[in-house]
Amino acid sequence: MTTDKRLEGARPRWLETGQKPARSLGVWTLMAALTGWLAAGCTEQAPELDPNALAAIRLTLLDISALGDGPPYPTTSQWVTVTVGVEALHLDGTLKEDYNGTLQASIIPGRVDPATIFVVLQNGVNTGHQLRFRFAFGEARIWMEEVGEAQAAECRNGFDDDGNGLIDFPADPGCFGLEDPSEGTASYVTGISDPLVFQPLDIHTVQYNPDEATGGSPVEGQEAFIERGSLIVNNVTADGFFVTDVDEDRGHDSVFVYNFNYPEGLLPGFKLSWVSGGVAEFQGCTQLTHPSWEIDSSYQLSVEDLVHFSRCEAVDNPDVLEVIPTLVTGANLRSNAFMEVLEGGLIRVENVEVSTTFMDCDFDRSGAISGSQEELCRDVCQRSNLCTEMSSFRKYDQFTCNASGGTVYVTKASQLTDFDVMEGCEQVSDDPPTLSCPQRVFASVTGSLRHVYLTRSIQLWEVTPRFACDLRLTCQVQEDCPEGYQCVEQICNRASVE
Amino acid sequence: MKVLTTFYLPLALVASCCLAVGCRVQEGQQYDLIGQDVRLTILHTTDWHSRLLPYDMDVRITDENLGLNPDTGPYGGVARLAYLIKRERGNSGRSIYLDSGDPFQGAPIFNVFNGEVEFRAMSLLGVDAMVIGNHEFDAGADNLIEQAKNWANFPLLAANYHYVTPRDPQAPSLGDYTAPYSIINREGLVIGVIGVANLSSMTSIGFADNSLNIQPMDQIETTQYYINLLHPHVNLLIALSHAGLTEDHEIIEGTVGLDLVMGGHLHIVLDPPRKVHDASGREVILCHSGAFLKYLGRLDVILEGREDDPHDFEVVSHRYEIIPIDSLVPEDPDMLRMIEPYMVELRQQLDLTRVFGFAPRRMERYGLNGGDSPLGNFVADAIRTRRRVETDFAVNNTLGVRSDIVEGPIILDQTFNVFPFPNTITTMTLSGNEVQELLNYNAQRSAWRGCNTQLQVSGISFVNDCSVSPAVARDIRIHGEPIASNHFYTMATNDYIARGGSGFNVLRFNNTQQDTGITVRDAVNDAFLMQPSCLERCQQEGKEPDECPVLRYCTSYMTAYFAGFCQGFDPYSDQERCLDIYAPECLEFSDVSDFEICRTSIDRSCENLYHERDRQACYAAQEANCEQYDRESPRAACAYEQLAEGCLQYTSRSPSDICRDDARLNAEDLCLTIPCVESEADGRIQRILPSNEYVPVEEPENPDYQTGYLMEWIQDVMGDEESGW
Repeated sequence: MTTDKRLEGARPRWLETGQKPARSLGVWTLMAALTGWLAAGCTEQAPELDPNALAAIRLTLLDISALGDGPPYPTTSQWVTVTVGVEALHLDGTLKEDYNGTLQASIIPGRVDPATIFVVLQNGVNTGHQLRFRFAFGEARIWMEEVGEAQAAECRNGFDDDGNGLIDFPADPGCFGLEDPSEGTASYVTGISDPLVFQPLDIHTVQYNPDEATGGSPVEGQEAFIERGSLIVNNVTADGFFVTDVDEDRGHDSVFVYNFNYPEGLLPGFKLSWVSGGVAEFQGCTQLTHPSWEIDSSYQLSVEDLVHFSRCEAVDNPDVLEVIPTLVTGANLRSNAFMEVLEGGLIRVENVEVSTTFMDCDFDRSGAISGSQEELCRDVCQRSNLCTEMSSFRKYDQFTCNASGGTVYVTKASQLTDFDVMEGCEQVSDDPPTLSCPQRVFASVTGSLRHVYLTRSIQLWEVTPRFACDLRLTCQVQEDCPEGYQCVEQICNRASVE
Repeated sequence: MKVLTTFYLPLALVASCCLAVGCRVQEGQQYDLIGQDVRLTILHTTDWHSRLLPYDMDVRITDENLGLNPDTGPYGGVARLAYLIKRERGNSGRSIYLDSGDPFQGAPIFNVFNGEVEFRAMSLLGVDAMVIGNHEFDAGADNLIEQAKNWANFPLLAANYHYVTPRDPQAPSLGDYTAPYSIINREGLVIGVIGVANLSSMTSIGFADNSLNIQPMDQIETTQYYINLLHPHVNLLIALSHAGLTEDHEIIEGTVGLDLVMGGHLHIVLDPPRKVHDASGREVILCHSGAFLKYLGRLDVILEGREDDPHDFEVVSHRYEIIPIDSLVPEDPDMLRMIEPYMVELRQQLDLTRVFGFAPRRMERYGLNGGDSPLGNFVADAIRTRRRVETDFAVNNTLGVRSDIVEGPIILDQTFNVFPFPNTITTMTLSGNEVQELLNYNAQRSAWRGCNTQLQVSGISFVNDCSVSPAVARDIRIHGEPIASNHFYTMATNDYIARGGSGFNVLRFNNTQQDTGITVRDAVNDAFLMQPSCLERCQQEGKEPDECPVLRYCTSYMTAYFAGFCQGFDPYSDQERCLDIYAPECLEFSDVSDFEICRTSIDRSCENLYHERDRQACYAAQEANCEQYDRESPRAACAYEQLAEGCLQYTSRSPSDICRDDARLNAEDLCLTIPCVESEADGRIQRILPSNEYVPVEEPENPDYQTGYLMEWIQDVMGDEESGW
């Protein structure tokens, strides 16, 4: 691809000199041309503005002491109340004393208490409105907008409030939704506050929902730039990676980062300087989407460290930040509230019994379970946590396991080829096609935790191992172990690693 | 002086002409925005891909999370967009509407009208500026010029295209109808919009024989040039881009002075928008608003003047909303009036609703594990086995298949969505070494995209090994036999890949190429028609028709499809019209007898039983039980009572009922004969992902090709300061 020679040397001067560039001869020539062109009459008439209309809104922060020490103020999941003053202004900046109306407040990013969302101005002012909000972070601004009268829910009341012959949303184009308070249009004049600088997000704030133990992220839909804490990659998968803030031990300290593709250049154990992305909820799992990240190059991992990680061995180097798996019992698995705290992090489950039955309920071979017969078949299978329905196994290498009475899904991950779930299985039925498999028990399974929905009513916890050593298969005799493994003290270990 | 005459003066003249195209300077009232919080609403669409008419689609979870309801189809449609644009403009103060390109190509309306309707619609919507996308050239640069000349009343932007003199000096130049930027004045806020057109998908402009007469210019340098040019004259600078997400990031990170980038090309939604730091560390907002008219993006920004330059506004806060376009959105009558004649002619030219196959399950174009996919395999098989093609193996680019085939009837409209391009099949001969080189390039290209294969194949199998750097293809077999470097093999592919599209340069210079003139779409349609019918598939499985799930599935889907055409049929029967005159009170009663209710409920309850034999026994038992119920409906009883029994001689079936019954009968007949199209992913393409752990070093299979060691790769990566975007 050739480059236009005329552009060579075209550099932003501001970068080099830090000064606003003086107008060059070329720009003067351009301006001369522009003037001539203007003189030719290529103009249009600007719409006349009503000098008496609402032209601007001035928003003043009167009392923000409730925010605490700062800036930066601490991010808070509890409600805080600030006092703001609001003025409606004319075009010339003078107070519009005849303005009597209602404005709508919001904070971006953050969430305003609906009870304090409407701000009433009389004679053009509100001398002290109590605005209550929470979940603000980073540089936040309060918005004050004129979006129409707020008292009535005019867009869902069944009346033609503005007399244009059209009733409610969506018929009346003045309604942007059922929640639109007015069928008429508004000026959308907006004033914003000075910036309120809060601490930036950390993983805990992204994950922890103070209102509901198993609820979604309180900052869902926001852009998160996370650089607080020591961010250690605890697993890498075909579609993203898991990261844990090892500085904290409050729970809710890990998150899955969905990259759509395998994230190049990352391995478990790497430290990130920062990670960013949109906060989203996907099948009950909080994740960052469309991510960016930067590896912390000052954090030195040696080759030996990586080898130790990949063998599930302790690392000698005291400077290495390890992610320690949390031991989870069968009882823990039955408590979504308990497991939610660990979402995205590394867990270990012991005494994990692999499904002994694999049932194919996709009778029409559509690739999905649909229709009453297939759903009935699937429900029959899933009454037991030793039965795996084949469609999810085929799609995602997932199989159901019993962990001391709790149910866990293990996603083997295509990179882990040593353990073949289907080995030793035999077909025992055609209707539906069913495989019976020998009993296999993992002494432990270690991996990263995600929440998945099989259907909207069947929710499970899924563990994705990092390395082959995360799956410690028990054995009685050598034949119980896969090829390349030795049965030592009733655990299959790799025969040779060099 | 030389610089003045050779560079600045022509540029000034060009710029003034461009200003003339795009500038709207307002006389009269002077706006003073200094010291104010200025709000601007930007409405944004991109990548319409000719989805001017509403269409059905299978709403996946990503779209569902963005607000598309699976129950509120069909989706898209420019008349609905027009409604939303009007509504959102009404619900805004200052607003502009921008489009990031690629309105062309992707539905039959483009194949027939070559973009005329798209540009007319965009003009009617009052778009303030549009950047040229790569698909605007699909029907040729001359076509784009013709459509722009006749129908585009908006600025068409492309700052990074330099138009060389065409061979024919009389031929029109695209440069006459495009501009590098546009300046928009909205109530005193002066907005500069710089168009950044696509380069990555425009393979033809990189060749010596540049049929588009476009010389590509560096996107970053060009953007910075126009930033510098416009900065003194505008309050806000927006890049309207069809470059792609990665390129948008590079442009922002490589320049200083942009405030916003409204992007497209990748068909994604960035919700929330990204904040990317430019070369000076300043945050720039990056938006992408989906594709196919599934969404309208709305970005509200609050601007304040900079302390050191009050005329230079910057974004201090923003809010973004993605508005789904579905059946809940009314259609704008003005737009409908414009588009209706085209719809009529389209239906006359193409019988888009013709059913010529049934897909019992969805045929996906992307493989689950980055390998071969059901639809990819079907297409590649269709290409390879086509009469007059019949090569050793075939390849087709994964992204050339534009849509899945959803389960249900396969209609002509759908095949245009899947294969909108008129690509033809090209054959050629390759040596074993060339096959290896071809697939190595595919492996490397796949590795850049998460080890998801960029080619779908037939007659050949291989493994994309992404665990080494550079990635390579291993275990290549043609019809089960390993390839030999000194053998020659015939290959079929589409003409885009054959010309070196998507970087497949190993093919571009192959001088054994022959274009068969057979379109890929026709080959695939013919392959559909050669599939066995649903009945034949049942018989192959040893099942009777009434025991065959696939046949029942087909009947159910086809009935629903044909019943969709019954809308508009009279829902009232002659009997009801008669009773309405003589005994209207009887219309309140049901015309279904208890006996019929009993029969209907039999079907529902027995259907839930697991085994077929149990269902049959259930039917038999329940049928006998229904004999005890009255066969006369309550409505009939009422009619007798009211001495209106004469009405009962008229049919109780309305035209709508008859239509629906016919739909079912048609479906039952059709499902016995129409092709039942199935395909599976069969593992002909496998992949090896990078492992999380240390692996022993492998000896390279072919020393001519570099294979990296994992540890070297780790060390290289650990030395990087940047990763990801």
